[in-house]
Amino acid sequence: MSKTSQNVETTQPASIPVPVTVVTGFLGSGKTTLLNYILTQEHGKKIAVIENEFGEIGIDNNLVVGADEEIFEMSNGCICCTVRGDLIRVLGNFMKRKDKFDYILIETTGMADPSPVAQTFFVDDDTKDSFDLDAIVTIVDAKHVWQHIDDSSECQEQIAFADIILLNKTDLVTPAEIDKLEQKIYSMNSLVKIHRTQNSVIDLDKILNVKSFDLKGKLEKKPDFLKEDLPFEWIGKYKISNGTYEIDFKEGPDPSINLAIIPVKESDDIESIKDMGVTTFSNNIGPYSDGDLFTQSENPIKFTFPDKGSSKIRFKIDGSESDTFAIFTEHLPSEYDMKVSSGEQVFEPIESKIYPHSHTHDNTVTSIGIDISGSVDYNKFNDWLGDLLRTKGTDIFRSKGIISIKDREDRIIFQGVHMLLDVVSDRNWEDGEERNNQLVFIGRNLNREEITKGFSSCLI
Amino acid sequence: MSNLKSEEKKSDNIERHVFQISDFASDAKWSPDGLFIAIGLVSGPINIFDSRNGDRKTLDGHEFGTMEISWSPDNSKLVSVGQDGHVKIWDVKTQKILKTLKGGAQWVEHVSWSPNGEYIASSAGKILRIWNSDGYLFQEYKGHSSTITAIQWNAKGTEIATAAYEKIMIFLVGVNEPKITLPFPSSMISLTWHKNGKWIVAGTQEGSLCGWAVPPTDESHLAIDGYETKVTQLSWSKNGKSLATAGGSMVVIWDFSGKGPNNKKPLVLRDERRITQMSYQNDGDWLVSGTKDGSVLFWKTVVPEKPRLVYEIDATINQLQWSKDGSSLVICSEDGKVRIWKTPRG
Repeated sequence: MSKTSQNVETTQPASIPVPVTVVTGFLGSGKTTLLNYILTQEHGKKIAVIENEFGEIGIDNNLVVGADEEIFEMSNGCICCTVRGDLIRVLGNFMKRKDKFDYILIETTGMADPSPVAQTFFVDDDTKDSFDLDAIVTIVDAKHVWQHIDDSSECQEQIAFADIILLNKTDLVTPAEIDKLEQKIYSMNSLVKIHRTQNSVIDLDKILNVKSFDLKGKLEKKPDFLKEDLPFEWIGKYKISNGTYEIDFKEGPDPSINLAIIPVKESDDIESIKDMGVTTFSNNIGPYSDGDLFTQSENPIKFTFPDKGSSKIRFKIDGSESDTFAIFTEHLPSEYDMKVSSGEQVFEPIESKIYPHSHTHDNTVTSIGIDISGSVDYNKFNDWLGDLLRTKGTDIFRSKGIISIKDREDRIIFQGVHMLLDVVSDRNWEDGEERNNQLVFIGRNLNREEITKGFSSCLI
Repeated sequence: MSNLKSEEKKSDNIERHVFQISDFASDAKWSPDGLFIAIGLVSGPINIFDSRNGDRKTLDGHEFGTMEISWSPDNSKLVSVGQDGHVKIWDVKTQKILKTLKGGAQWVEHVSWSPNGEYIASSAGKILRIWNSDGYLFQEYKGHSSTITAIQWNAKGTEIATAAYEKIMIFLVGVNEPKITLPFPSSMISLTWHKNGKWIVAGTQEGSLCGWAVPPTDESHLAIDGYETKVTQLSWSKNGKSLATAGGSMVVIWDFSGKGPNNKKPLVLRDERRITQMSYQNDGDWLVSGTKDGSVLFWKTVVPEKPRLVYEIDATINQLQWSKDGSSLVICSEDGKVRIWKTPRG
């Protein structure tokens, strides 16, 4: 008897699609470590891994099989439509097993473009029937990614395609460097969820069964960049109390920075602190000249950097009962090498969070978001989207959207990988709910103005 | 007859028997004499049923799973390939393994005993291997640029064809370079060779059919689009005049008499159920299709019409094949059942 036939208990009915997670990332980023970590965790799942090496080995309850990343062009009119022939065969074989796997992981080679894998789940009927693409997880080596992120199209595509990014090896870089990297990644892919990891160790609930490709309920939560632009990009929670402090800055990309310091409680979660910051920033922003001593106050300050060299803000906390303060900065502290100190003592934030701006820097890979109220004419929208994907499909890696169609009760949801599109009917618009449209395009050389204008022309 | 469990009698005179196997069938093949049916299981073992009395023999098969099996033309041996990277030759009577051959470092996907009994061909990934029937490897071709998706002997057993992405290759036994390369811009996934060797036809991942007269000529080249999904099923009629093809819910029958199907209208059998298996009766006019939703449809293939008979099995049909003499049909379904139906003639 073979090994696998000893586990004949069917762990799930044949009709339920098996979720599939695709793991991408450059060589050395930690993919193998992550796969080994997943396989050895006590999750009670029976997992099959398809990786780019030959051979087949059983590991406890799990199975690792080799596939050779055979990419086929489909001659179905999409110039960029490629699928993985090996995946169709290997998955087709998994489908037949009675001792079904609960989960499939697909590892791609370091240089792989993730689109053929994703498109396989759109194109092949048998694969579509039996498997659900759950998420594309990209592992990024926080230390070495800078060598590739601006020049390597594979690196950019892996980031642009990702639903989840694990910033790995964060122990090898400073918090400021990680902040900068997160900001960069968000500017390329505004829909991605980023987790910081060391040795690829992560709570498996954060990467498995996350249903990123499940259109139902997707975008229910607005992606971060569709939310209102915050007046600050960063919050840091510091354990400081009464005393005099200095904030040192080095020269940065902008000539001035707005900043606020607010007393909080140590137990306050950063989201609630964020709202306090929004309130404070709605007050008048006062000027600050170099050398002044300012007391933490209700107003934020605008600090203009002197022409040359580094500079500092001095501030005083006096008569406060709080031992925790939040510092809000308009730009990322890492861009200015910001340092908070008192005398010899240097303070690191006990917690910090980045709120990326929707504006993008000079990356060729960007995300474009549209959030417009109203309803569209179905035919016009259809023509516009079809035309956009036909002409720009090679450059548009992924797209998602919720659309309000005139005279339809239900919300229409779509998602695409290059030119391939899935459109489904979602829940009905509720009484009193404002009808609006949210679309996201992630890709290369995208023209925000043109796309926004094109979509607007479909509005009634 | 103790092992034969007959299903409820129906008025159609079909004699029905059903067996339970432990797992899905990855392959099912009638012995050339039509007496035995060998079934490779996804979990590894191989079952051989005697269709006369239901006796079952079990071969160990392959660790991780058996992928394909093929009978020797004299009914005495079976060759199997599997996910353990091996090609195994079995003595059917004693159930003993005669030879274990190294078929590749990965899954060995395809195997076929030549119709003249002299050779065994197998493919693993991009490599085609040919052994003599004693297990001596004498040909190993590594020149495919992508995985071999199907292999097929000609009727004489002197040439073997392979299908892969964008090309079909034909090899003469003993010559390690393709004799003919037939290019087509698609991923070929199924392959069949006409009985007299005059035609070679492949179904593609993209819902098309391509074919060539052998030797190929420009006029005879076929390139047919329009199937709903990939074309996985190809089956010749008893006289070799027509080829039944299936992709999606449609069976399309092409007339290969004379100069072939170009400029001829095919016969289209339509139904709403998605076809997973299809087989043309070798000695009769019945075409049978098995579907995703577990139906078995019997078609008379003279005029387009609705299926004459429809049986519901309630589990996806994953193997379906007429015996060589056309008297019996084997049907395997995903609930691990094997059905052998013996039909009255006509």
